[in-house]
Amino acid sequence: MAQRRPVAQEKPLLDQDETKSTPSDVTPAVAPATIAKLLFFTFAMITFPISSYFLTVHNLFSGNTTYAGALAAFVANVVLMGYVIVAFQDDKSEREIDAAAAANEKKKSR
Amino acid sequence: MGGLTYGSYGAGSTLAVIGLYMLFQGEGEAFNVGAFIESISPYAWASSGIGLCIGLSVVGAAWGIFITGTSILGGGVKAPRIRTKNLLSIVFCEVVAIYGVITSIILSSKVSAINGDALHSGNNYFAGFAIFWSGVLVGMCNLVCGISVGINGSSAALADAADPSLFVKILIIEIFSSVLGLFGLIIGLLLSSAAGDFSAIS
Repeated sequence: MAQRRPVAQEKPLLDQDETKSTPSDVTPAVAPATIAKLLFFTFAMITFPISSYFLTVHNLFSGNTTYAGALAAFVANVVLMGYVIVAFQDDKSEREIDAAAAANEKKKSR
Repeated sequence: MGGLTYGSYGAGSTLAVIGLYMLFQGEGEAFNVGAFIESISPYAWASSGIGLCIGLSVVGAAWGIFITGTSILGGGVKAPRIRTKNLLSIVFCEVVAIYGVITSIILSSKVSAINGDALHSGNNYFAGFAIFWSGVLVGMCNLVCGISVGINGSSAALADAADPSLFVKILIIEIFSSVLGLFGLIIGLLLSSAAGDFSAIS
């Protein structure tokens, strides 16, 4: 009986008051430019193929819906490839910024 | 044993008895599949084809986006750098839905209201069947293509979280699976262009 620990005096983790209060990081994890690009390309993906279909079906292809549909599918793929290129450039610049920040940290710590 | 077992056996044996009775009494032509298919209006064929086309395409795209999205979120918790490039997979899934939208627009431009008996001409029946089956064709192709792109995108996100050099390799495979939807679109366009519009002249 003498070895029993005084359970009541021990506070579990959740009951402990927060002693150190660091300001929480509220900046969004994704850059606003990334979200803007995604929104633009989503919008373009919806509007560009459909509008290219309706613009060309009577003017350019004189009512041939097959060619106009093929053109719309092609435009959709062009938008897709545009996003691939933009995303890779974005990623490259992001990595360069990260690498520069890491290099600065190293210099500071020396 | 499911709860429907007795019901389905009962209905099946009742239908078999009625069918055999009609067959042996010389009324077997009541089971005329061709006449049944012909009795359905070409409008019904065309409209259900258009509906299945856009519906199945959107199901495929949504399925792909939800598989990819959960993986990007899960991988992004531990490796926040996987954010930008992986949104590519979401756009790849979206293209699949756009294929369905384009095909449905083309198919629905072939349907027009026709007065009276002129609807039941051979030309209009062929247009109805062709629109129905090209809708089902494009819809099913896009459904499977969307799932395929989604699973590839999910693997791309998780592989990128583990090792950034893997992303481009998996992206190439993702492009291959997104081309599958294009195959369906091409054949759907060819089949529906063979159909021609609904016309009043028989």
